Amino acid sequence: MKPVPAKVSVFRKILRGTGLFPFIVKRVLTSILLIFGMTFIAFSITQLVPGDPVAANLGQSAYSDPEIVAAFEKEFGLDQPVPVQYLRYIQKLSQGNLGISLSSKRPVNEDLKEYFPATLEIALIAVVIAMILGLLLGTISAITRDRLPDQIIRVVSLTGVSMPTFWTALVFFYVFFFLLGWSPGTGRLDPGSEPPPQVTGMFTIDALINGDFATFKQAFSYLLLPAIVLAIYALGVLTRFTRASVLEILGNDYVRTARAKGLPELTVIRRHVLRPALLAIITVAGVAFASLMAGSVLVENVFSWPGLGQYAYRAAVGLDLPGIMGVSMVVATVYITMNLIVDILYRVIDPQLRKAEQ
Amino acid sequence: MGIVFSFALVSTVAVSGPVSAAAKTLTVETVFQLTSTDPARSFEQTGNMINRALYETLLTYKGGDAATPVPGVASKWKVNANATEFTFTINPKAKFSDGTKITSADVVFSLNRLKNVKGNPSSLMNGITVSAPNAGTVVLTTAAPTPQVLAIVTSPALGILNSKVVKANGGTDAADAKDTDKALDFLKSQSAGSGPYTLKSFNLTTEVVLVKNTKYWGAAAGYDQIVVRNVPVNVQRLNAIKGTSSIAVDLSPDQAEGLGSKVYVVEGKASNVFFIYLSQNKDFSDATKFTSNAKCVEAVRYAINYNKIVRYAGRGAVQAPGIIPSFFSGSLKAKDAIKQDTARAKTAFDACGIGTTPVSIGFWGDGGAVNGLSFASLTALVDEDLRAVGFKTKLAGAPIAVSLPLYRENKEEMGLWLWGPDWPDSTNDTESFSPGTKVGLRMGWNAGSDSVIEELRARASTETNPKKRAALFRDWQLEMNKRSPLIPLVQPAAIVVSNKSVVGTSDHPIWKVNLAEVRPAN
Repeated sequence: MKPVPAKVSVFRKILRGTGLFPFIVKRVLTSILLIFGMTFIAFSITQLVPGDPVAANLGQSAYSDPEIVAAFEKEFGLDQPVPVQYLRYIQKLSQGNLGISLSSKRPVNEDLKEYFPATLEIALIAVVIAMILGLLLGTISAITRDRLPDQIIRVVSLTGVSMPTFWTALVFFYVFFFLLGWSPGTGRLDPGSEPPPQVTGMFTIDALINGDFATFKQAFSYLLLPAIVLAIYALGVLTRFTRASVLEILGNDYVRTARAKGLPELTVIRRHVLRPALLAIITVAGVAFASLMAGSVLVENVFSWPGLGQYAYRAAVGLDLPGIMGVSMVVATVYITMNLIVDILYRVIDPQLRKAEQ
Repeated sequence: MGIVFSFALVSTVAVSGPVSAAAKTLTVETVFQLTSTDPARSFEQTGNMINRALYETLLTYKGGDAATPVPGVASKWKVNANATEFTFTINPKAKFSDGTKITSADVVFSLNRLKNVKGNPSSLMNGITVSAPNAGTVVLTTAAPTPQVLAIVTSPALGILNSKVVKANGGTDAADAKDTDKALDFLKSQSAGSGPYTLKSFNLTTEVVLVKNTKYWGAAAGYDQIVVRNVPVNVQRLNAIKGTSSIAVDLSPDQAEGLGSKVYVVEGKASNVFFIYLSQNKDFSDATKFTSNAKCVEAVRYAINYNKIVRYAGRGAVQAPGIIPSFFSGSLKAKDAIKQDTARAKTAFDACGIGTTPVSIGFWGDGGAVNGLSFASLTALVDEDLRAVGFKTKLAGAPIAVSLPLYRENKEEMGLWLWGPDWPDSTNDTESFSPGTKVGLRMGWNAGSDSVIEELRARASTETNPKKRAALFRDWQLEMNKRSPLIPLVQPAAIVVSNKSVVGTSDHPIWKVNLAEVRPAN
């Protein structure tokens, strides 16, 4: 029997371990497999659509010219059988190459580098708004159960969950831009303005890194309204979830004991109620963030926000397979990463989980 | 919560200021139909509008006219008697934005590159050979008489590039340019033309910024900067009312109502004609055994309430009397249009024998709309009329990526689509809708199906006398209206909304707004 190399031995040890680091390593490896599985499903589903990317991307006359059609098919590898196309895609993917977009005619990596940060920027602001207000309103709602503040907050949160995001976007745009003039309008910057030199792709952050406060303020003013619209749905969900979690914990004996000991109410809520409630809330916030990233298409359309949602829509309409696959990869990665972060936070926040594993 | 949001919004906007154009900045809002600013690869409306300002062509048109070519880079031109040889003399004053003179070598390079990159507009060069007998002359030759060459050379796709600059950045006009030309990225980062504007920045989803060409050899550009922005139609309307944009390109006639006093509306006719057709491919399905029957075509032709469709299309729309748009040579008059005759339609329906066999109507169904007209709504109107005379119809709308291939591959029983010209000349229609041509084949209407129509097409495509050409185009359409499986429906209005601070805004069938002609009012 051959001796096991030292590196392999260490790797096995990690995989068999029970601490946080082995947990992360195992989850990352599983995630890579999940992403490859996702590529197969996304590729297969796209092939099932009874459309023709050549017809969707070439004009009337060009489509009737066999030479132009052949050149287009060759350029994008559409002249190959589907299994060959998939294998080539996987081969390129393993080298970090997501292919060339049929609609933008440039590498999907470059497209995503431009569009992903734009969506990330509004989703981050949206989730921060939703988390702060959701926690606050949910807690107030729970501790004022069945009284007027609770009733008002429940109506507001139900409205947030019920209103279609597209409709909310249109109404908010009309009111805050057209009627009140508080919002500067659509896009990310004033017409013709130079974006800050790209570091993260998020204009507000890049402007700060560059020390350009005027651009930061301008970018932030364009960012705020779409972020608020995007936050409304998540805010509704988080408020309702926080309320439910806090109510459940408020009924526990140890909370009654804490109160009986004479601890101030604020301390009871902060130490004995919110901390355990955070576990469930973080789970919802993680999923909400991922769904904001994936579901921003309608808001982006109303606000002409050049993000992942608009890119995904254009790729889908043009049967731009590399574009569709690129977006699917990003969304899958965001979901997987958010779940991983949530699981790690669980272990950090809840000592019982760590003990159970040990 | 609302108060918190309000304060945040107010405080940030107060810093950034309102979204108004600077003193010499023109803001144009449109829903982007754009792939690049490479003339050889761009063939969409927004691309044409932008390239028209960046690149000049041998000939062009003024304002919204699409009938009389005027000098562009070529100061004069002549056509031989049988329209097979077109000689252009390059204006000796013409120069690129870097100050170098335009020569015939640049024209040959640009046109051959267009032909050989095999991009979307490359088919414009089909059958055309370009040569340069000397530095100031370019000759375009065709094997058969092709009078439409004078219209084709106005297309922004035939824009003249600075060959030295483009070659230095990976461009080539070689026969294998489809594989070897690498100038696309360069031409999206900067322009290499002779137009009154140059490209400052290009973003496929947000905005394209043009700046004044300070070395322009013609009348100076009206603005220091033009920002063409990708903006949804409803927002275009709000911005037009507020006066925060200069030009809104995509409003429908209905949306152009009640815009207030800050704007004026340029109203023309769209170059698109909506039509319905019946598949002539007998073997495709049970229904096409009948749709290929002349009586079935007649039943559909006379069943439709054209007035109702025109009313739906709104202000400025007209019934299309033929497939050739109203502003092209040989277009038909309103009196030539087909009129609804329900009794005749019912008789023809009975004679056709389709009975209760269901027939599907394909169209762009996921909210697809052009010139403010929804394909789904138009199809529903037609469907109502067809059912009234006895047809059992099925609406088969689908997303464009699905429905368009079905139409283009002759896999529809009936279809409701539109046609917009690739170049502004009536041959665009005769060469597309006759038996055996592009759309003819999509309808299953093969060559040899109608000798009269085919002969008229052949004569119209080679006739060089303008009056005789116009008469042939008219005759061709009248015959088409009698027997072809194609039924023209409506030519919508085309609207451009312009702020009163801007003059020179027009509506053109190929490049929509000629940005080179737009100027500040004062």
